[in-house]
Amino acid sequence: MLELQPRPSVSSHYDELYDAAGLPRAHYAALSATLSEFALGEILGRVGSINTTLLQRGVTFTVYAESSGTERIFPFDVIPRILTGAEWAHIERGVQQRVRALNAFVYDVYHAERILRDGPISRELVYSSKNYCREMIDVDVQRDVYIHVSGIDLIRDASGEFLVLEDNCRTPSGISYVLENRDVLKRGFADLFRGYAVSPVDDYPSRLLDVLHFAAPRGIMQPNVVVLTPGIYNSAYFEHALLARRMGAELVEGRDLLVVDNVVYLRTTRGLARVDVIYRRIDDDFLDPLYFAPNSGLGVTGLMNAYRAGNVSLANAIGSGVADDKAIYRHVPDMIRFYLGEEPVLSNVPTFDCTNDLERRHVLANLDKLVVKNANASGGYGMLMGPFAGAAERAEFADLIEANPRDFIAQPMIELSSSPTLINGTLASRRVDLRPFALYGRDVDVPPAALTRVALKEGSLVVNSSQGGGCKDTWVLGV
Amino acid sequence: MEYTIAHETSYVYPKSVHESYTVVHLQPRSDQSQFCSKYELRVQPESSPLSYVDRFGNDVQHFAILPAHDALSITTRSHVVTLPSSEPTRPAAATRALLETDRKVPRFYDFLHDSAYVRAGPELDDFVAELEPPGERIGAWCLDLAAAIHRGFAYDRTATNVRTAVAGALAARAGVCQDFAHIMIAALRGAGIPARYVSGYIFGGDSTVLGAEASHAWCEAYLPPYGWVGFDPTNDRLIDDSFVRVAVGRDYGDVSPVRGIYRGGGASEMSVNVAMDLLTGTQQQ
Repeated sequence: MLELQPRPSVSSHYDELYDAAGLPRAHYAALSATLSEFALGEILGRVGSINTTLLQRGVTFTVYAESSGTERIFPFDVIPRILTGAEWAHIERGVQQRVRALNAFVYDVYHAERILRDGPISRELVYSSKNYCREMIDVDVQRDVYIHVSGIDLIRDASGEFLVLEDNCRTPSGISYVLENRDVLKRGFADLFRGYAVSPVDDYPSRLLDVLHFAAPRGIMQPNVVVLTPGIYNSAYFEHALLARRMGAELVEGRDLLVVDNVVYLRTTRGLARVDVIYRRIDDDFLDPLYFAPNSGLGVTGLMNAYRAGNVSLANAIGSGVADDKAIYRHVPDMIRFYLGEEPVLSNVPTFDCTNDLERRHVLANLDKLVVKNANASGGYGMLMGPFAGAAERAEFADLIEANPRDFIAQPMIELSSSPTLINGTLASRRVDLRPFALYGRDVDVPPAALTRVALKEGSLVVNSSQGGGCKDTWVLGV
Repeated sequence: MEYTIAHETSYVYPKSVHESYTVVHLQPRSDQSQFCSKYELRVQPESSPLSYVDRFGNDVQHFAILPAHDALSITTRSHVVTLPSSEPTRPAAATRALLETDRKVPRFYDFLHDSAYVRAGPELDDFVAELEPPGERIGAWCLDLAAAIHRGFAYDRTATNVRTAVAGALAARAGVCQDFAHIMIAALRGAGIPARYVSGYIFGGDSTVLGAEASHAWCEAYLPPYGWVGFDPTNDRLIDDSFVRVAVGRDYGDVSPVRGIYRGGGASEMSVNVAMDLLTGTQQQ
């Protein structure tokens, strides 16, 4: 039997389950009651069969730079993370606002550069971004939408306030876990849902397809949409295949496509079929060897020409990554004020800019207290958790920062909120984050399908799957 | 002056190739210093080129040849009128003070930083240290720099290849027009003067001119109050109406006359032939 016992609150971080008085929050009450009805052996039996299902379905990810077998299942914790309708409404409003501003920024830096001319962001910062794509200067994209799909990573500080930790505006992954987790939990442990009106997640693929249709070149009524994957060795291949299947779109690799007279075609057994929209899960650098990395075999030669001519749409647009450079992240609140004339709904985590002499000196002097991140990496790679790092690792980062200050930012270590998690047959408190996904079509749509990642190691604050994290089903309650 | 230019680039492949995609920067620019009144691009095997204008204002064409072929030839014929420069022959009035207050300079980030073929480094520092520092009179320094490259480097087609960056030519103290342009650009950027690469043609009537038998390359420095001023370090000359500008960019990589991707084939054999003729006695009415 698993009981959510009253217990003293821990003041160092926000507890998703217990309130300040040490009592379970109201929206966890029904879950608490259900769990107490089950014997531990019964729960563990269900966990076992859920894990078997996930493995059979191939819900795996790849850990790069690991020599032993690289395919692993993303550990799934059956205890859901629950968000109230009010919490979600706040997140939805904040994410919509943020993505509108980020998209306006991407459009602007490739056109009039208003924010660089009159505004708070320096030209140097944008032009030095590795994700700033010069081929996109003065290129128009359909309906000026660049960031069709984004994942905005949120954490909760000690007061429970949601803060944005980073924006993912290139090819954010994780939605397949959201879809699969919900499905296996409903099949394998339906009792948990008793007493809850949980918003469904399974219409995400059709909402994504709406956005991709809307992105099609003007005048095309029945656009042909394909999903472009780097192939089976990519860590998110499972997701590419799942989304293609659920959208009824063809899953293709670069060699399946051919550009003729600035039009993209799919090679089929019945000849060439015109392609109008590509949901691409390949990074900019590998999309077209004629214009980007010349040795890439993943892309489609001539794609940039077809794209520039407006004959095919790409989601996300080439060059969107300039919006998720971690050194530019710091200025997103300014973007919101500049483009929308609004105050940010969601705040940032304080961030130090290592190109600023004063701030860099502060960072170098406080490496034991700060988190240092590579400005363009993701997945928890190229990162220093100062308080947990050894002297040698800190010294190594100090050298890296001195050599290439533009490549690094630093943030204070934020105590993430905790959520009850099943560890070795008991409920333990583990730290979580939240990745809502935003879809940009007519406007920004934030489906109630968010990914909660959990740091499975006690006391750990790193939730990335590549760094020993797991995930939970995330319930957004109806209002 | 009025010129006709015929430029032919041919490739022969040891084994046949297919799905060949090519991008060319071959169309002479039309701007305040010259006017391109005719431009024809022919490709063999036949293909229909498409075009666009890149972010530097260059007219770019691209074409694809999908069926198997074992040779490719790209021929352009251009007709260009160049205007005598209205600027003084020496950009003497250009000063550091004017550059520092110029409102356009912040937009020239790319022309002030390293690019694929233009890299700062100790070899460059050693070379630049042989000159007097630029000080306030940056226009005069540009002339000194072009002269020093002309004096200090041998024109030698065997010393470098198209992939050689600045360091290779500096080490050998030899190279071709492309290398000299890159070295001058690197030195200018190092001195805080915006600099860009120009590909084009030089009229070599008297045959003492270097670089006339193929595409030529030089550089431009941004020197207020004049704007972009061209220098040819290969011949130690200021750019005048015997030069035809085809494309400008950060370096060779942005404006290479022909670049492409194809399947199969192996390493190709390339030959280039440029014929530039001065039209005389037929003044346009």
